[in-house]
Amino acid sequence: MSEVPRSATEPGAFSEWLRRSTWVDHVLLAIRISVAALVLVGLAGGLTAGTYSAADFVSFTMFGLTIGSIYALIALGYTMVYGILRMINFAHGDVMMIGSFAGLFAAGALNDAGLLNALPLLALPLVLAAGMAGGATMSLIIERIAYRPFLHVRSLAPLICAIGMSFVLQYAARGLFGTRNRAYPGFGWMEGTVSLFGLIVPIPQIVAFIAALIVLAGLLALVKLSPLGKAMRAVAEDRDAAALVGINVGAVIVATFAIGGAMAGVAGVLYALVFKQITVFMGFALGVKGFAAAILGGIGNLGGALLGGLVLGLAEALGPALVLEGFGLPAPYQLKDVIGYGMLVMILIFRPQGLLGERLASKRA
Amino acid sequence: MPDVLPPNLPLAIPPRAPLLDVHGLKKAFGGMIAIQNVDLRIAEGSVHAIIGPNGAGKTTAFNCITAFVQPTAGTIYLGGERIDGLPAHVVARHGVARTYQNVRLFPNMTALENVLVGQHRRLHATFWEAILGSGRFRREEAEARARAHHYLAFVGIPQRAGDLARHMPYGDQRRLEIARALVAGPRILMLDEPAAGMNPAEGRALVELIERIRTELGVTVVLIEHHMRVVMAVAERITVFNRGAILTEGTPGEIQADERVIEAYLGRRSGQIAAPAASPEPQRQMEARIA
Repeated sequence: MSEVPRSATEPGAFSEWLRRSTWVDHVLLAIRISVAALVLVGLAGGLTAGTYSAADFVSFTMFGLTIGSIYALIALGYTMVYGILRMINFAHGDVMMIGSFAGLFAAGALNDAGLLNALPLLALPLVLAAGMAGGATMSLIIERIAYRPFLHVRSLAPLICAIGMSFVLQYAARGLFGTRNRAYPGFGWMEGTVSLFGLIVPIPQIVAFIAALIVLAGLLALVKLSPLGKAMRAVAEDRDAAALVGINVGAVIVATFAIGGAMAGVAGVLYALVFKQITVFMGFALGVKGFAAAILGGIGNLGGALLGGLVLGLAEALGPALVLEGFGLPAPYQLKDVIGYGMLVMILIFRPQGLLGERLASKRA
Repeated sequence: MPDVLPPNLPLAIPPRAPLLDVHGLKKAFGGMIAIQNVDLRIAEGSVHAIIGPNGAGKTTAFNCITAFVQPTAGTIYLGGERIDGLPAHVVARHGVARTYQNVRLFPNMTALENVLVGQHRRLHATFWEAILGSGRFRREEAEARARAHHYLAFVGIPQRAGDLARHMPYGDQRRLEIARALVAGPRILMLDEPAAGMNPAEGRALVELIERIRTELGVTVVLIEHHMRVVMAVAERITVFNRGAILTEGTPGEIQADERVIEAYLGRRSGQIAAPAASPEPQRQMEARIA
């Protein structure tokens, strides 16, 4: 070879890499470079175009955090169940839909009773509680019917069951609740906007973000501090060894599904508050988003689900304005899912363990 | 059993009931019988070894007793209470603790956390007490930590408290597994090949540790072991398994003198104690012959 070694200790690191790498590595590197270039060009274009003001970007960020925290709530359910059962609960998005409808009916009942206006601040926690109860109950029913029979069986059956349960829930809800868009009755005080540090922010966004933060903090405290949390970690690491130190594995699994379902229920109610309308088919798209967030952060990792949700939400909210706008695309917001799922694909190619995940090379997986 | 003995019976006659009483234990995996007709009586406060060639059914017997698998037939009593048929975590709460042939710790937890999880059944604070940091929760938590540190020191690895279990050397992982088992306050500790992979010095330290478990903690110990030096040093009684059944039982002296044991387990009579762990015969062959 004609290349001259740059130093005695490092004889041509690049030629060495060239010798050891395969064409797959070259293609992957090319993808990396082109993605980075696309993002940089888009960023440069978007920032110089000046379509949006700084205030616009701050409000995009606020919106990204809100939707991101909703994704995070959904992602936690996926990641907790995966951590303990090594299984993707594909019916989880529909559990969220059920929670959302439970909240809808609770809000309707409160409205009919006149409580929504009489006790506006009490009504919201009640609606959230209804969503949690609905989500948790549905999650427990699914666990009992579709997953527990397969607890000691190694097969794809629970996965198929999960997909089946998803359709059962969607079409049962369709039959019972109809296909039209539904909206929560107005919470008087939540109409309108507030001005925050000179920004105009819709109140539901702030409420949803704060509520999500409270629920997430409660969950993390539960997992980090309580004996149940310790038991959940132990079952996730080694189910049989956990049973032999006296942990009731069945009870831990049930608790996991209940908590995951409750959080999906909260997500469903918050989604309805922010986006104003829900349908029986909302579970699929949002479920996939939550799943993507869980993968993005590193499935099985609670902090990862939280981070993945926020990153996905921010990417969706900021990406179109920041990157796509730079290419002069018409209606960049129609393409926000391209950014979200594009990130998912990139993560799966370049960092399959996710942002915070650990490598599963030799573990069961 | 009645609380008070009838006055006309001499008190000396009834022998002390064994702590662990296994009768007629049988486990079949499909048509393959792993063990049958296994009777074990483990006296309280004793150290009892189970030996036998690979595939003789020793670990299967352990698995049945700890409800890791459900036996096909037979009864198991612990301290007079029937424990067969109970789920594994309930058996553990009755006071049966064990370690595994291939160490099974929680690999991504620290040594301290592993031992804290071992105390799961001792914690009573509720979720809200934990979240709010109530007095009871903090007291329990502090006690649990103190106890965990105590047992890490007891097994000789106090300096490892903050290390992730998967980063620890093999010998320390074995000690940690024993600490995790002991911290629950078991009545009986079942060790599955605790000396596997240990050098002679580590083996001697293990013998000393088992002695201290018995004398200082008053815990009955049952161990499966291939290292004869360890077995002969710690065991008061030895049960020999062969081909899924019990060959014989006795004191170390009796076992060493037993021709059948020497033939079945130690190989031809050459005077040397061979390392039977190296026996290549796979379990399936062995059990096919019984069935």
